[in-house]
Amino acid sequence: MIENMVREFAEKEIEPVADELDKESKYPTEILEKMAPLGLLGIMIPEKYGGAGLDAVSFAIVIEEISKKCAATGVVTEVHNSLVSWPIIEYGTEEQKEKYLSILAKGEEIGAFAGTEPNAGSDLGSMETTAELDGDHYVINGQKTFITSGSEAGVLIVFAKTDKEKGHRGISAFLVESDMDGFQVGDIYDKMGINANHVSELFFDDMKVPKENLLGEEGDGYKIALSALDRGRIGIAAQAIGIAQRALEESVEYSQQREQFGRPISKFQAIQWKLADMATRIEAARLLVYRSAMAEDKGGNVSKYAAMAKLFASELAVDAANEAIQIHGGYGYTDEYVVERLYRDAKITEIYEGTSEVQKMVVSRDLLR
Amino acid sequence: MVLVYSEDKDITLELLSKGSELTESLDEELSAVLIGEDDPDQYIRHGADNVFVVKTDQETFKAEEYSDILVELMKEGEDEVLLLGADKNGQELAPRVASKLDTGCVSECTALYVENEDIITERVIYSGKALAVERFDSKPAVVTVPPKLFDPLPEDEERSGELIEKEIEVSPYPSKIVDIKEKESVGVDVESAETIVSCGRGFDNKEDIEIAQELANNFEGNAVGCSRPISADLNWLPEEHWIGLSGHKVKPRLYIAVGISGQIQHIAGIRDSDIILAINKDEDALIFESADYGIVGDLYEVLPKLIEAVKEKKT
Amino acid sequence: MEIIVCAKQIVDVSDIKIDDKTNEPILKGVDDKISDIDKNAVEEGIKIKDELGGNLTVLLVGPSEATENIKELLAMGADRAVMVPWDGSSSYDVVSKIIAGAIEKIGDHDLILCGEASLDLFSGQTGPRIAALLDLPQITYAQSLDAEDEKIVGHKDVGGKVVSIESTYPVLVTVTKEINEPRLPSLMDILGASNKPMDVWDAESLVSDDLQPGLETVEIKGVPMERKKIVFHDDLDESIEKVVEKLAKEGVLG
Repeated sequence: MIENMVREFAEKEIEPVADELDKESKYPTEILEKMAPLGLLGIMIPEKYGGAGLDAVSFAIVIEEISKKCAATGVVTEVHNSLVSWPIIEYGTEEQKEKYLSILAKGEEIGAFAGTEPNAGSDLGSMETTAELDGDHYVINGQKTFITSGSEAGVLIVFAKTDKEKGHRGISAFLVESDMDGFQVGDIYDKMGINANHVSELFFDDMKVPKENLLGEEGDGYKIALSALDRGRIGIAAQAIGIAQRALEESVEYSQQREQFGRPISKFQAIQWKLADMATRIEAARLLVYRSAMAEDKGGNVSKYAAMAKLFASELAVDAANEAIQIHGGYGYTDEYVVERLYRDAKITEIYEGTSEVQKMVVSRDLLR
Repeated sequence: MVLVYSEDKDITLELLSKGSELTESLDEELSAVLIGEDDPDQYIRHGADNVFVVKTDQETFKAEEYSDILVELMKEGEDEVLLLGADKNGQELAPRVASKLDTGCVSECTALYVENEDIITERVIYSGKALAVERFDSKPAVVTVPPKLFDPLPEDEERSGELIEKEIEVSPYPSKIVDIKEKESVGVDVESAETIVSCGRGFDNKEDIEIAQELANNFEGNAVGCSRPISADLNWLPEEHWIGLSGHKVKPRLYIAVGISGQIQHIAGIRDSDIILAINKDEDALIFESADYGIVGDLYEVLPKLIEAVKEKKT
Repeated sequence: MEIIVCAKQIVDVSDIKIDDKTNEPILKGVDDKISDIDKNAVEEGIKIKDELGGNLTVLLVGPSEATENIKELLAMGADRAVMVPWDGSSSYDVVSKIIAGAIEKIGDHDLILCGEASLDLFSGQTGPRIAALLDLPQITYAQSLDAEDEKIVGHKDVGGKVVSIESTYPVLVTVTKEINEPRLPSLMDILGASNKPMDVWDAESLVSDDLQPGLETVEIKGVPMERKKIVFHDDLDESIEKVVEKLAKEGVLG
């Protein structure tokens, strides 16, 4: 029923505007406003803070359905629900939960996750942003980059070093509000795809953050970031499946309409095999995503399964979008068909929240322990 | 007996035409039912063997009382068929009567015939994708027939028949008609138009429908139609223009769908068009699936050019 | 105010394809759902309940798997559901007798709401049949409703006229799609739906009559809709020229 509800929502509210958002690089503010009352911005947030209190499987279903119609809205929703809300649920104090989770669940503010820096992507340990305790607040200085919803978010989890000597053990996580003094949004990137997602630089210039906004303990930042990313990857894998599923549906439809040599191209085995491959891989990827979500819900090795799911699903998304354009032929290369957008949107799933190479590292590290 | 009733005179004449065909196959009599004031003889002249002229206190049509009247008329249980009009009144009357008589009912049949002494009907289902052929296993067969499906028989001044006066008192129901407002009639009849230019959500505002009218003006017997949202949601055009499953069903020679996405409910209303031309800026729009010809483009660019081109071609 | 909304589970008509070889509609693998206009009826029921207070029961006679789809109506805001599993004849006379029997068993009812028709077969028989069986007044094809504690007025369109019908309770009302926009349930509503009561009743226990259908379906065959589907998407002037040429050839320009 969750699937039906989100599907209907996405068909009614997202699909009609997705092209425009993409072409004009418009952030999906209005869509997010409509998602909030449906609980889609507080999927895993407990009911007592105004969320739906659902599990990771439900989260994956929601992200897939939204991404099917707009992958950019999908990632904004994913970051908000997993990378931002989840660490607060898991590590937040009661005060932090009451304050921030209810804001996030109601969609009063959108969340962002500020980890990546120009010189620290997957290697968080080389992060240069610092936080110094000064009386009852921390003073944060530094710069972040490639931050999803960076320019739009009101609540951010910002990672900074409280101890420069300790490498990744010196990283701490802070709950930051975008109206805090010293918070600045830098450039918003022009990207190849997921254009409706505004990805920006952030600058912190003597930004004062109250002491009580430290998430977890000092030095917990690395642990928090990694465990959040595990959950995030479940979402990115679901997003990738949404893209792939859409590519398949568009291809099935188009191949039955388009006639060449006197019959629909779906009658040609070359096309049939492409469709069969796509469908089979999508189903396999979906099972992997559910496997990782169940590891999250029922206990298990989330890191490994989430990495596998993201690795497999993101490569599938790129391949499926590629094949979908091939099936559409010349028309697929134009912006008159959505497969062109899918192709541009798919690529990022192999990159953000850990590249495919990093996912392989995670999986192999688990095997060779 | 085959009984025929509609509170719309024109529909009654059409029903008599079909009814007389049935009575021939069934070797039965054909009776028209007249409730209220009108000339009963015209029904005789159009094929009825007799007419039940019912006197009642009920002034206007109301399904509850009228079904009790019909049930009272048919209480002998000898009747084979009851034909009713498939207008809104007939549509709510038929199942109510059928239920009171504990019999089957077919709404909006597209064909009706006798085969091996059984009454067989056909009707469109699944939004026009399929046809259901059904056989009555109960009596009488209650069937509603869409307006204009059958042509009335030519008037025969020589025909004679019996007028049977009935006084039927029915107890009133606790519901009543409290108001009837004439909607401003625009005198549009999309159902008999030869060429229809139909507007959908692709139009930005009400005034722009003028452009559709301008295109339509180039054709004889034209009408402007619209999809559900234009009439029901936005109220840009009165309901007379609304084409679709629950609006009007049309059968023009040329149907031009402009800025209409092509929801299945709309398609159900235009299936019987000879040629369908669709104009839509979305290449994926469903309407192209159900069209003979399509132009992908912004209607605001397409229409002016199309109007010019049609004018030119015609001169 | 005791409100009962009758809902039907149908196949998603837009998904139905016709088998080329047998010319029969392919129903296998087609999703089922609650008929759209029945959701308008539920929405209207919720609005009336919110305004006047009371209880809203949804009632569904149909395949036993429909329990999943009924939950959606509970999530929308119905208070309870009654499900009567029935895979016998779907003839309207049979089904409406079961529905009427279930309504009698539910007991109190002021307002019975139905969709004007189901989107699969679009006959519009069930509402008036239930009204007849329960000997209730009926307001059909309502495009708007004004409900008060003692009476309800429905407005409908009848051939260019707006007819307003007033009735006291109990009454049966069928509504059209235009009456409202059914709400989407939130995730919280969906979770809450599982905790709402759903009774499952046996159809045979509800009806004393024998359930002989008055109609037998002889055959269902596909209606071919062969369209040429020639779509022009190149240069606009060229497209228009070609289309006008085609229309002239078809002889529909005159």
